[in-house]
Amino acid sequence: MPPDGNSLLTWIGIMGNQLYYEDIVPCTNITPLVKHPDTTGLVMWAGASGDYNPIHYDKDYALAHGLPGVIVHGQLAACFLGQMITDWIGKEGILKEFSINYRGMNFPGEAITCRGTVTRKYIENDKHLVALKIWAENAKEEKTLSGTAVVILPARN
Amino acid sequence: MAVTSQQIEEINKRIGVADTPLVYDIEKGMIKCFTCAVGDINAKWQSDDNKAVAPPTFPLILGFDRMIQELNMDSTLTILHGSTNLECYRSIVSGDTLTVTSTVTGVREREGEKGKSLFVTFEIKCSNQRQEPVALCRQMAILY
Repeated sequence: MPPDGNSLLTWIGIMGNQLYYEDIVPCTNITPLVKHPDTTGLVMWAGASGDYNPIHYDKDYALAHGLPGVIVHGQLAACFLGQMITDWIGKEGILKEFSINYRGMNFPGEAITCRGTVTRKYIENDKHLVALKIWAENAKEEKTLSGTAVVILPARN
Repeated sequence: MAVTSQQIEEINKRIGVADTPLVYDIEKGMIKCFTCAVGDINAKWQSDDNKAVAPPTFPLILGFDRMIQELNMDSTLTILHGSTNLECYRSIVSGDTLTVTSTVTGVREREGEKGKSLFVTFEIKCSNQRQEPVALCRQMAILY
């Protein structure tokens, strides 16, 4: 049986059970998500999003523009963070607000670890809200994206 | 390559002027293409009545490509993404028709070692076939 706090929230995320407002304890971590985007993935994202900026697929172009190589689309990494949240909040949870600052570059072939923590829970206009701090780390554990989100969770009562 | 005065002038002219709206007929395949690219296989992206449900971050891609192309008309600039702010009002399902309008909201110049760079903010509003607001996305791009 899961204990309280972090372990409970991790258990809920992994098991795919619905997370409820009452389950939330501020300062606990949400279930991390690790992604491994490769160059094929970047091409898929370019096709899906229409973002054909050559810095994401043309190494010569990227080098000529002062970059160390092709880089992962910021919005793809942001969507990884979005996935971490939607995996965690379950079917009935709703992502309401989502803000990201792009602080560093991610490179294909390197892991991106999405993380988050609960900063606050509150009720507003009869909605049960949970505020999150979210970020993504590269393989060196440097934060390459950071931001905040607010989700709406169902309540048991 | 640094931003030229002419490029700055062109972008400044766009401040507050909404682009021609884009209309997207949201098909299952478009949503699937998005979830595949993200690698998001959550069952919640399929509704009980067999429609595809878009993840809440889906509106980030609507109109974004056009704005980036317009900011870099002659393809001489490097564009990096500075920030994203998304407010989600309603979910999107296959069969929806979305109307997307985008507007440059501000331009800030910054002098760097390699010349001028620009911080351009723009917002993209998305509504559905019932004229209900679906999402508001504010973005900041860095051009140099």
